[in-house]
Formats: sequence, structure tokens, C-alpha cells
Amino acid sequence: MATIADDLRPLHHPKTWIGRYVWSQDHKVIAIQYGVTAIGVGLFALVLSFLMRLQLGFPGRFDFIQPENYLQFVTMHGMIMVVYLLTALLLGGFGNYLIPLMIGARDMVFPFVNMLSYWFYLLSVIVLFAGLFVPGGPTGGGWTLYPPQTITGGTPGASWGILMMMASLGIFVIAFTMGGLNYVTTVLQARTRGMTLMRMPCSVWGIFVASIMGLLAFPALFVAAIMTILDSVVGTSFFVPEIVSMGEKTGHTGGSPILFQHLFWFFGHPEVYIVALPAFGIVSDLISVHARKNLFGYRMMVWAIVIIGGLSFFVWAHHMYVSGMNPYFGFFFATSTLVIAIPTAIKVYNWLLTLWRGDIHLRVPMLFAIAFLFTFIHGGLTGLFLGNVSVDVPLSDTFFVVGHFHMVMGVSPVLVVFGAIYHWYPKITGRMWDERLARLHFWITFLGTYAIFLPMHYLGMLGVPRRYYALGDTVFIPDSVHYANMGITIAAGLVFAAQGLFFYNMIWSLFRGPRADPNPWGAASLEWQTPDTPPHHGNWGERLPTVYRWAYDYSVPGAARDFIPQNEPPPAQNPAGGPQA
Amino acid sequence: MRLIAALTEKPWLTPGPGPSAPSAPAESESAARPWDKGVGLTVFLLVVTLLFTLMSSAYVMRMGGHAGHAGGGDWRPIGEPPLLWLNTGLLAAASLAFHAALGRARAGRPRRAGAALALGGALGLAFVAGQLLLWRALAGCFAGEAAAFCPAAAHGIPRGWAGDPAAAFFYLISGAHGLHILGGLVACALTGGRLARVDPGSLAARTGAARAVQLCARYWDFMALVWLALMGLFVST
Repeated sequence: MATIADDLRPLHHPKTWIGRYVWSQDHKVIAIQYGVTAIGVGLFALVLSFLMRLQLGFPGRFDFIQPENYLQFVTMHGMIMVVYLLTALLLGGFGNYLIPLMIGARDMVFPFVNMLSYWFYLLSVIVLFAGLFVPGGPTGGGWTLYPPQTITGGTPGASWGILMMMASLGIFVIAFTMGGLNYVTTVLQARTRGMTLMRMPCSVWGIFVASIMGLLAFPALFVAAIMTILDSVVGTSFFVPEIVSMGEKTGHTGGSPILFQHLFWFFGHPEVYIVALPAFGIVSDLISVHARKNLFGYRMMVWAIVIIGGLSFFVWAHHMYVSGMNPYFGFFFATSTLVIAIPTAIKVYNWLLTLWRGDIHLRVPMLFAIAFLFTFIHGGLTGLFLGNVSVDVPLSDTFFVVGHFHMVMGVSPVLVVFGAIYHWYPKITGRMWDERLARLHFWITFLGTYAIFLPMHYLGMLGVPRRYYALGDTVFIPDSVHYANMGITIAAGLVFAAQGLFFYNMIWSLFRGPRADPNPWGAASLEWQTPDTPPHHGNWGERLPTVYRWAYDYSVPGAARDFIPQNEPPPAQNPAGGPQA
Repeated sequence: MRLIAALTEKPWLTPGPGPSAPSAPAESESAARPWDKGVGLTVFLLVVTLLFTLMSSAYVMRMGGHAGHAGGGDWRPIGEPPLLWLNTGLLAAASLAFHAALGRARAGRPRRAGAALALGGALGLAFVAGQLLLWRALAGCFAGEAAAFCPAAAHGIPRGWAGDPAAAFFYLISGAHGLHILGGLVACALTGGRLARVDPGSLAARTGAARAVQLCARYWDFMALVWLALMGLFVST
């Protein structure tokens, strides 16, 4: 008998290769399209970061890196990593793949809009890369793109590059809005029978809340982008005050640069958590699965995700302590910033308590999850320094800040992304990767991360400024800084090269890896219970699954196995048919 | 309260089928079910609210009304030509027409609903045309013509509208609103086409079409409210 959970809508099955893999409306194909594009773009940004390191480690040795190139590398690296890699990969990639599978749906609620979302994202990437080839090259104004500097002569890409960047961001926002609408509506509407909100795995919670935040935060970037384009092209004065550039008045009057900063950071700070919350969710699941133990304090974990998401809209001006702000505002924003430490600390303690006396299997996804705990705690603690106005002022715009945000929102989510790829790769491809290569990749990446970013805190304490092409002969900068910079560059080279192991492993395993078990980790959540591996279009075969329990029934006393899948009925029920509607 | 109950569930205590999730009976005609579209529209309207709130905040901050962010002292308020009120009336009338269409669609008269929808669409187009006339009038100010709309001190200022922050914001915000109205008109045209094709004998087809009209009406009401708020901002400053 068909129950209300049996979705009888006919799925539109594509008949041609192009329909199946290019103009696909299947969430899994779109997820892979998003993921591959994002990782490809991220690889480009990784190369840029290594070029920056070459310049910083060995200043003047590389003729092809001129000051304006260096600024362009800084800008493109930052923007790509934050927006085009992490946001797109965690929400467009993992969000698309995991949401329908984890909540027991056949697809996203609006598959066509979902497809459009990817193609708009690809268009934004193409526009971004087209910006490399316009006269003057891409913008070099820093990823924050503050006017008037970005659109005034003397800054690389002030005429064309900034327009391409802003246009690309505008298109990205449209793409994200289409995707985010899908993720939110799908979670709200398409959960299978028995999948209550509090039975959803934390991964879905993280992606869900991050999607809502993205929908609310990205409009600020959109408005800022349009207004900057108007200031630059039409000559309006939204952001640009009366200035003299190269001895001539630009014709602008009265604009407010601070206004741009408010708009940018109203997007920019939630953006940090848009990247972090999916990572929080995913890492919760990895730790629970590989420690064979239920997630400690599941409800607290969910509430903390929601509270962090809400609070993050009230802290944006902590990026503007040195912009000239009323001290009372500084007090407010410092307080709200530090308050976020409470739900965040709850999460960290709960991860540790999940590990406590667990049956820990140190498989590669678990290694990355534990590594995340290290880097995240580390980056979170330096965040306490920078959240205080009086401590932030001397550290502002130094390498301390670079070390802090790379630890907390650069490396930490990337480690989770690696863990998540290793974790779900068998489900996505049906093959298993090579264990030894993966372990080698992990250790070089994890230790290399510390070799790169730990010394940066020391440099920042000495006052070494960020975004400088070269330090030159400066009194307050001792020789040790140069040695440290050299060391960082060498470590960065090693980590950069080690990523080759990852790509080789992934591509080789795709064709030659051994066939994977449908549920190699013994995970309880729904995505591992699909009838096919990799799941077919429609995910669930004839009938949608019914969910009887939460996603964390590991090592349940008296159970036959050390995990109970979410769709396994409790013993009292008729095991074959399940309850009748 | 239902939300609080849902979020305080202790999922580890209660293995069993649990209360059913809101997935509802199958609807074969379209990929997305209408109530999904309703939720999707609500979420989208939230995004639109943010967009216009942010632009309005930027407007107020640029005016210099915000502590610590005094603008450049170059703010000259724009006037209020009668056309502004006429356009607002057109938009409200369009909203009424959409509600008439909704009533007829619910009463099972898709053809007459389609006629009311077409009227609403025409009124919407008239609103957009009226906005374009406003734009022209404002541009005229900077070409030296005197009109009710012109900023008090704008006459003879050669820099043009781009040099006048109030005018620039008016173009930006009303332009963004106009684009949303045009998008709504496309949705309305698609719904009109659906109403024309509906088989009056089929209850499912009729209710499906009525739901689509309902979403149109909801979107239109919302954009009319947004315009009222924006009008309040323009008129009061």
C-alpha cells in the first residue's frame, strides 16, 4: 500500500548522455559538477598562494612576480578560496549530494532550478577567469575590495578587473540563491516519513542553517557589488568621497567608504560561518561514525549550530575596529563576538566527549576530523585575541590575522572537506581509495599546516604587515623573520606537492580502486542504506525509506551489530512491513 | 510552539515511526508540488526583504542620518511628483486584480480568473511604464528642465544625476524594484497560460492552477508592500 511518504511523482529520467551528465537535474550529478568545478578553481588559487609564498620567502628572486602581480595573487587567492571553492564545495557540492540522500528524498524539490544554479555558478567562474585577461589584469584591491582604493588609479585592475570581479560575484549570488532556496525548501518539505527535524544528521543541520545564512547574507554582497560598479562606471558617489587621484579630482563627492565596509562585512562575517557550519556538521558525523559512539549532546549540537548562525549576523563590525568606529559600537561588537565562543565551545567539548572512551578507528576520514579539532581550537583561541578591540588594534593587518583566519576558516574547513571526500568517496564512486597514499597525504598536509601557519603568529606579534610585497630594510623586522618566511615557503611547497598524492589517489581509484562495500564504515545514517552504490537516479528504488531512529545508534547495548541503520524498525515492530499508515 | 516541540525532541529515546514528516500525497502533474513552491516563495521573499532592507539602510546611512557615518553633506532630497502617487495606485490596483483572479480560480472558473490575471498584468506593465516616465522626469531635471521632481538645488548642476546621491539611490532602488515586478510579470504570464490550458472538468487541474494564482497574488502583494515602504522612505526624506 502506498503511504504518504511514497513519492509517486514520475521522475524525469534523461535518455541521452548529455541529459544525464551535462544538463542533468539529478542532485548527485549536479553535486559532482559543483565539486569538480570548485576544486579546479581552488587548485588555481592554491597555485597563486604558492607564488605568493615564493615572493615572501625569497623576495626579488622571481622576476615574473611584480608588486602588482603579488596584490592580484592575494586578491584572487582570497576571493576564490572563500567564495568559489569553500562555499560552492560545501553547499553546492556536499549540500547537493547529501541533503536528499540523508533525509530520504528522491531529489531536490526544484531540480530544474538546481541545474540552473550550477550553470550560473559556472558562468560566475568563467567571468572571474575572464577578468585575468582584461586590460590591466584582475583587481588587486585585496579580497575585501574596499573602495575607493579598488576603483582608483594605481591599484591593479582599477578600471576593468574590479568590474569583472564584481560582476562575477553578482552572478555567484544569483547562483547561490537558486541553490540555497532548494536546500532550505528540500530540508523543510521533502523529508521522508519518520525523519523528524531532530533525527537529521548534523551534516544536514549544518548545511541547512548555512544555506539560510547564505540567503540572508549574500544580498549584502550583491548590493555592494552593484553600487561599486555604478560608482566605477557611471560615476555615482555611493562609496567614493571627494578625492584627488594623480593630481586630478575624480568627480566623486560625499560617498561613504565605511558604508561599503558595513555592507561587505554584513556578508563577510556570516560567510565565515557559512563555510564553518557545514564543516561542523560533517565533522560531527565523521567523529561519531569512526568512534562508534553516539554524538555526545546531539540536541546541544543542533541548538549551537542555530545559535551560532543567528549570532553571526550581529558581529560583522569586529572586522572594522580600525576603520574609525564609535567606541560604543566597538564594545557592542566585541561582546557579541566573544559570546559566540560559548556555543562554539559547547561544540568543541561535545566533539571531545564523543571521542572520550569511544571505540576509535583511526581511519583516514577520522584522522582529518581529529586534525580539524586541533586547527579549529587553535584558530578559535587566537580569535579571542582579535575579538578584543584593544588587543586587535596593534595586531590588525599583521600576519597574526593571516595565521588566525587561515587556521580557523581556511585549513579547518579544508581538512573537513578532505575527511568528507575520503568518507563519502566509496558511496559516490563505488570504489575505495588507496589507504597508504591517503595516510601520507594526511600527515604531510596536517603537519605542514602547522609548519606554515604557526610561525605566522610569531611574525604578526613582531608587527610584520600582511599584503606587503616585500619588507625591505625595516628596523623592527629582525633577520629571524626572513628565515621564518623561508621556512614557511619550503613547508608550503611540500604541502602543495602533497596534494598531488590526493588527486592521484582519487583519479586512480576511480578507475582501478577495489569495489567498495555499500557501507564500508558501518554508518547508521540513511545515505549508506541506498539499494545501489553509487545510488541511481531517484536514490531509493521503488519505495522511499521509513526512518525509525536517529542517525547515531552506535554500539547500542544488546544490539546485534555495533550500529543500527536509521531505517531499521525497532524489534517490537513487524520487521518486514513496517507500520501501516 | 510546534517548532519548539520539534527542536526539543529527544531522538535517542524514541525509536519508532515517529510523527510523519510534512511530505504530502503525490501530485503527478509537476516536478515540484505547489506547497513546496509556496515554501520556496516564502524563503525567496525573505531574501528580497533583505535586499531592499540593505539598500534602504545604505540610503539612510549615505544621507548622513546615521551616527558616525555623516554623509558628504551633498544630500538634496528629491521632490514628489503626482506621478509617484499614480504609480502606487496602479500597483495597488494590480494587487486587487490578482486577488479577484484568485477568487475566481478558487471558485472553479479558470477562464474568468485568466481575464482578471491579464488585467493585473496590464496594470503591472502600466506601473513599470509609469516608473520609466518618472526616471525620464528625473533625468530631465539634470538636463535643465524644471519639474516637480527636481531636487531643490539641482537646477543647473552639470554633473548630472550620478552626482546627486538622492537621485542615484532613487534609480538604484526603484530599478531593483522594477526588475522584481518584471520577474513577477513573467510568472504571471506563465500562470495565465496555465489557466488558459486548464481542463475545467478536472478538479486537480483547477486546484493546481488556483494554487499557482495564489502564489502570484502573494508575490504581488509583497512587492506592493515593498513599494509602499520604499515610498515612505522616499517621501519622508
